Amino acid sequence: MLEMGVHQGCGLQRMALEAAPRVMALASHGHEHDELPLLWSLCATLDELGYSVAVLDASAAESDANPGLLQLLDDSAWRGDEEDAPWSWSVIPAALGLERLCVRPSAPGLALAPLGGLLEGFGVIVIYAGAEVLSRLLPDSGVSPLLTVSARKMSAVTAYQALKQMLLNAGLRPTIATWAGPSGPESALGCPPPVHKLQECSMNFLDYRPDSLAVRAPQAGHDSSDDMHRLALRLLENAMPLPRHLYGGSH
Amino acid sequence: MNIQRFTALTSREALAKARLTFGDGTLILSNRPTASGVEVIATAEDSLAALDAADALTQRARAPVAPRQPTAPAVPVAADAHSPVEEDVAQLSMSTLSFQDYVRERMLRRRHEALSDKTPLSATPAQDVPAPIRVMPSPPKAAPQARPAAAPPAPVAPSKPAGAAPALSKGIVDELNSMKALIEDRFNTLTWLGQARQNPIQSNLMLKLIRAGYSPTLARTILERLPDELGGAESMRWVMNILERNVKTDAQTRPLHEEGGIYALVGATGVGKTTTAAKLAGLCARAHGPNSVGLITLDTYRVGAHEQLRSYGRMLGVVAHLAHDRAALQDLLNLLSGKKMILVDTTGLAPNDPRKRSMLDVLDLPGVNRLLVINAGGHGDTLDDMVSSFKSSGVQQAVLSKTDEAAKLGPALDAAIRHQLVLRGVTTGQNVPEDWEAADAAKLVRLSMRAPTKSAFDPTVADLDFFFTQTGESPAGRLHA
Repeated sequence: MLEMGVHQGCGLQRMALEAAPRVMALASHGHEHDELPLLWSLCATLDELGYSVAVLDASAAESDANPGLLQLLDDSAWRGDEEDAPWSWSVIPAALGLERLCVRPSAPGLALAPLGGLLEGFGVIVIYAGAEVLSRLLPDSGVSPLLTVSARKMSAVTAYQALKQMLLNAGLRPTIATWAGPSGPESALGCPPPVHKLQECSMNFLDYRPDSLAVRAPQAGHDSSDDMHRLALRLLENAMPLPRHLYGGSH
Repeated sequence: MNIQRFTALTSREALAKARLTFGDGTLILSNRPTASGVEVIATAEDSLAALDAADALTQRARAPVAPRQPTAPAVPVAADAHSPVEEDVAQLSMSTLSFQDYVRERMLRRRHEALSDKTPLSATPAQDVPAPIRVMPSPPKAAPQARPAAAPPAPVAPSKPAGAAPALSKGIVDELNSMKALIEDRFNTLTWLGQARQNPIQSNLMLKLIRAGYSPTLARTILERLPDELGGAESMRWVMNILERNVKTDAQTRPLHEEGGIYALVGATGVGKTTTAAKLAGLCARAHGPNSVGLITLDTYRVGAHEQLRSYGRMLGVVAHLAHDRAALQDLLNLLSGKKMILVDTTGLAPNDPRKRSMLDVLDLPGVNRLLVINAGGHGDTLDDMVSSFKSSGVQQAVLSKTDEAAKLGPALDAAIRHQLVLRGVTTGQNVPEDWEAADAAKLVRLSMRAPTKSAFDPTVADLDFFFTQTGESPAGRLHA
């Protein structure tokens, strides 16, 4: 009764041994001012929900001084260090590593399979990359990439471009988030015009009406907002589980 | 009050026996066919004199004295009053209802007869009393058949007693009627109890059922249908067979986790809704993969409720969502529409909790089935309250939880039978998801009837009377024998 590790959910845990990190994506379309705060909040919320998060950041390239996914793929010994890391979420430079995964000769949908073993200590892997990379990494995976749109200039145009690319090339159906930071425009709270425009265009030209969520940034000193919780759970619902047994790097 | 039971092969003989005992003033209280013939319960009419006197005083205090002409109705009635009971019986169809009418009519006749013997202007209190029988608005149905032989056509005759009707307030009539119903019910119960006590098999089975936790109402309903010719063992088998047939389960359909759908688990606090949701999610995930299950909780009240479901979800690889209101729930149901099974956990609520209505309103969405979680170890009254409180239209589906903790399964099965619940599963422990079983009526009934250790709460044969003291109000439900 008082044995360590024996509890009423042991049966569930045994069943869940085959479960693995889940992959979600945030599509970058050149508006880091909106995307990075949202990414930060998303990671914090996932952390609050009990998931350890690894962000594969395609906006930063790996180097010897700044090792990342590429080194991880080349030398899995580095993985051990990562497992011992005290942080519950890590940002890993991944521009080159993701490029390598894109060109790996593998069956469709298995481009990310090596990550299942390399990052098995994480609960969620968030890929922050452009629409083109996401389209090559996650074709027909069912993942719903997050796409931000704001009232900033050209935000709706670049967002539409990314949406079209992912939808037509990889069958990915993005979720639109309108980000209203603490100092952001109030209009972002109530379905701002850019979202309407984006949805209208998508409906007219792509025959697809993306879901949209208005997300308020958490107040300073507070935990993440209900909006972020809802968004995080929604993304988790559509995340792609990685198989653990396909462990291994490039060697 | 001297009440006796007379049994004979025919009604005529039984009535004759009654008349032999009580004379002309025999008052038949009930008459019913039995396996060995006819049973008549009778008493002396004088026994009711005290009751009538009390009623008379009440009536006199409330109603003005109505002038009456007793001679007019006395002529036909007096002639009829001397007709032998046997003739009346032969003319009446001897159902219980006709017997009641017959008794009323006899009393009416005798009262009129007594009045006609006295002077019309006599001012004795007894005469001033408008007896309740006289205000009966319509004569018994069989009376016109009996009267024409002796009575001249006197259309004014019935109008005289009817004229006194307004003098009586409706409340008194209702009160007397309810008193009459109470007395009849009590007599029936006493008769039945006496009969059951004489039959050791029935008596023993009654004790067994009540000890197992079944309600006296259900026990009596079953045992009243017990065939007389069965021996002890056969009677026990018959009773268990009846119980099995009346415990409805999903044995004919696929189990919940195979069937899929949207299920909202509702019920009282602490009955195990969240654990049951986790078990169902686990079973569905095992059969169809984690992606086949959607988990939502509406429980924003209990501290840690979402975290608990989320913990289970994480073990499974399933996301547990939180919905604050109906719109959010609808939104999530749309999001999870591709799942085979969606489980909605709710806040545990007491039957009289004012928040219950609003929570049930949130669940009132198309496609959402309510799954009532019942603590198998609960007290019968508590379970009754709970089931009535969460009753919805259509099929009532339920899960019996904590059967491993229940000292008696009788109360839970009793509630399931009387409320026509369809049991979709049984939880037998805390392990998720292992401690889940399909509902098996035979097994549940067997478990409920097994002889437990001696309990201080067990009644004895002598206590059986107490179980039937309260009558009338308990819902008998439906029973398919």
